[in-house]
Amino acid sequence: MSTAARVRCAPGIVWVKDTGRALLVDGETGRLWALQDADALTWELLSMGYKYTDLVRMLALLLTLSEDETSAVLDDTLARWQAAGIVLAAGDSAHG
Amino acid sequence: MRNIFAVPIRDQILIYAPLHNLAALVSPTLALRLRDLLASGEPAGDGPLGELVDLLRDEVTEPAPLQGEFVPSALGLLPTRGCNLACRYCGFIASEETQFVMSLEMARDAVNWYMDQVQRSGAPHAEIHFFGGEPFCVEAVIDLAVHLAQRRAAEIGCTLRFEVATNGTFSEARCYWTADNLDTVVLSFDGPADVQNLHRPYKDGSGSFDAIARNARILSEGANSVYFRACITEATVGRMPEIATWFCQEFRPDAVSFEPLQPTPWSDNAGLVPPDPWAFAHNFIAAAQILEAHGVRPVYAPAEIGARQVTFCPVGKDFVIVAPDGVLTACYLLRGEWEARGLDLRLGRMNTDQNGAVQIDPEAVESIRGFNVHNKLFCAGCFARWHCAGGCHVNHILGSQPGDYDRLCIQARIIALYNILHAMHHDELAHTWLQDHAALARSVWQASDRLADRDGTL
Repeated sequence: MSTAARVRCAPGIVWVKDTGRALLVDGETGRLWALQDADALTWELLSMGYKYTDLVRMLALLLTLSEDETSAVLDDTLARWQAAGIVLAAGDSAHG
Repeated sequence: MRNIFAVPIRDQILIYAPLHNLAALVSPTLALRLRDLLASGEPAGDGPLGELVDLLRDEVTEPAPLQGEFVPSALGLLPTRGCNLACRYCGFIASEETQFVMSLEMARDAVNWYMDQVQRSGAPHAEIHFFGGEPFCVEAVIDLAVHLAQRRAAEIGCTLRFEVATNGTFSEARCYWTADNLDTVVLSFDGPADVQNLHRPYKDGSGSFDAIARNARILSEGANSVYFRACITEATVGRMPEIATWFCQEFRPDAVSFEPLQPTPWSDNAGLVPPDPWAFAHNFIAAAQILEAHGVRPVYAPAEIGARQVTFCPVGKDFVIVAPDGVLTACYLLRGEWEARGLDLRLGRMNTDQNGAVQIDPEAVESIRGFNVHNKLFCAGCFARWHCAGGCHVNHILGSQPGDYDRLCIQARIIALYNILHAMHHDELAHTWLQDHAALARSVWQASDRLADRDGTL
């Protein structure tokens, strides 16, 4: 499992689901993100507390990918989100 | 004239013809005249009687069982038969069927098969229901099914509706998800803390009230429909108006369904007894008035006079329910329950070793479509036959002689009659009729309600 795999949604982020998109707002900075398609799905499942391995399995079934392919896509997504600050490494506090 | 009924309501006769969408209160003399005119076919002349005869001479089509090609009307998923509660009346606790949990692959294959059927048939709408046990004990199956069905519906271009029957003890986060994603939540909620905790404890014996009350409040604020389903026993039947008041004061359900306890060996052991049907009917009606005053729809399903149906439940409606072991059934009750009655309600099975291929057995489809009120001779003369349709095919054992009504028939007949009088705005008559036990008994204990079967003493 990659480093990016052990993440959780940043606590300052509030979000809503809107016609297949996930609209995220950072309550402190006001920064916005609009996640589409697989990203929106990943965000919703992550916010429900799915562990990495379960997330890979679920996404593989939903996106019709192999688990290896899904894992690669997921690692890339989570690394981007960690850089953007919308997810934190599981051990990080809210203010890092 | 087989679908024209006559029921005495104190000193009047209720002429009820549900397939004509007609109800009228007339004198006994006029009812007999009406019967004779309809039987003879002679002209009825002008005036109100003539108008009534003309309306009742219109040809009507009886609701018919499904025929022809099998197209699933909805998909039911049973993620598990297991549950986190140990309700004192529930027969699921001891069943061996609770050991099975649906795999994600099976849920995927079931949803894909169903959505393929929707696409192939050109149906504009898809419908997926989750039952249990407690379906949220296997949240991943629900998440997968919801996301996959949403993606497939978007591809196909159909609308999609989700419904769940749940004990409502899920986490707060899951509750918000449910409010956002599922269209109808049927919450098993028996009432205030003392009732809920007595009837529906967790497996460790602790009360489930706090969790369900918190979640019922969250769901009340959501955009989805929330139905409360309260099980009523002999001990709680007198509290139905109080429970209705409390539900309305504390929450905002769209509907409240009161259901009498279905006795099981477990309810017997717990000392829980079904309510007296006369008391149930009286208290349901009192509770219904309270609910309606708060804008909440009261439901006693067998007495829903808006229904015109040949079967009361998913059985016979080409509704496909996938059990955790891949057996496709028409009924959401435990297989052991219907097998104990000598019934086979299997529609087919999913072959997990063949890429989830779904096999529907055409002979089983035909057999299950035969579970309908046309084949329930006991119900032939009952005014409520197209509403209640004989009730549950598994648990409602019908009498052998016409008029041999059991407790379920008694309460359904009283409540349906009340609903008809209420719809006619004859609430004052309904009230005096309900207080007059002899009159009520005359209404209930008719072996046949058919106008044609009424003799000169009507």
